[in-house]
Amino acid sequence: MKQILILSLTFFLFSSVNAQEKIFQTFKDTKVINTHSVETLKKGHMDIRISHRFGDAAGPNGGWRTFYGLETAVDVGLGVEYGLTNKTMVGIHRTKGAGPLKQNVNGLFKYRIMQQTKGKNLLGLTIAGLTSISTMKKSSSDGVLHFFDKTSHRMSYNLSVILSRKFSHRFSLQAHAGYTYRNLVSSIDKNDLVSVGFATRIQLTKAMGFIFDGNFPFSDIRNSENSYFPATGFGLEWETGGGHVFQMNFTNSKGLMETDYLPYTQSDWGKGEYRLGFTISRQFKV
Amino acid sequence: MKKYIICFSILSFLLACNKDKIEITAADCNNEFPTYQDVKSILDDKCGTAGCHVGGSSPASFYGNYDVAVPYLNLEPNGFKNRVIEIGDMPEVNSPGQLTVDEKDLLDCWIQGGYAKE
Repeated sequence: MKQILILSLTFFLFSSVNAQEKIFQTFKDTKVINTHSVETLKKGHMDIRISHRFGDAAGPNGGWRTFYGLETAVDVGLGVEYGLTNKTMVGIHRTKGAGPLKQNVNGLFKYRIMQQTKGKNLLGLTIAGLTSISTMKKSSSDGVLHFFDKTSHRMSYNLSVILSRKFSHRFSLQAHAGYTYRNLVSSIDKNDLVSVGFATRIQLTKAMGFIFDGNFPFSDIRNSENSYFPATGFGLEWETGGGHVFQMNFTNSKGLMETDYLPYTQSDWGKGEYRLGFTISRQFKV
Repeated sequence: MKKYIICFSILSFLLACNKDKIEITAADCNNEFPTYQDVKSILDDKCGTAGCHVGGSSPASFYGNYDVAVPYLNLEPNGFKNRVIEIGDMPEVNSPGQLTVDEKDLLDCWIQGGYAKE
């Protein structure tokens, strides 16, 4: 009887410890390819990020003539992100911009609502908010999005809700929903745009993983007939040690930010309008 | 500190929201559709400028002659209309060529006429 009691108590204590055990590194980086991952930075960590999207690898704009897109840069991003707490991070990015609005300054806020734990929380939950401001020169003629009749026309926003689960040390999956709002759109378009997406990471070796993400906007005009396509991508991600993550990917998306690639992805994989991209992330403890 | 950031973010989000649209009306062509020769000077001067659509390492070329331009237009018939007329991000704002209203209308009519050669 005594042995059973000790065993039961041990089992109960062990279960309690397990229930509190947090699951870390569902994804290795705060972004997958185009999409925010469920991850946030640790408190006091600063992440310097450089992202790049080259030109079309094939199709009419690619091939040998552009060295498979490597001689063209459709978007470039430089950014700094910082962990205010273990759950809250902020960031600021400058992007060239691939859509109609260029020279963008993007402010990011990300908050981890729930972390996956062993036994208790089956899922991780994070929200990410993004505000983009175009600093491009105002057009002299009206009838275009960059006429900027009001300063607020330079702004667009995205809110993403991200649900994730790390099934094993080799396999993670996330689903996300997005709401993008642009203050000014053309008369055939709508200001608000709802999208859904998913992302996955498969650990291939100790340091390298395969990543994939896809984003699907719901919009009457966003179909292949009007040359709009879902933004999808796949790639490889290396953790080179010391807080350094290097990612190389192929995607049909030109823009780097949600406010850019969700409303304006018009590149078709089938026509060779995909591109090489990379992201270098270097974290420092400050 | 966190509360201030959250409040500031929500306030800036709400205060700067507009629900505006720009009216894009199709050019009135009066059933007269221009040919490539009518728009060639626009394509050459406003699109086929150095560093833009002039071949080499640049995207689809519009400079020179119809046969150069038409493969891209056949491949992306709505793309040209979308970028030049609907979204209006082409020609790029920092490029040397900016379209006047008349030039844009002429291109719109060329598109409506099916990119006619002659």
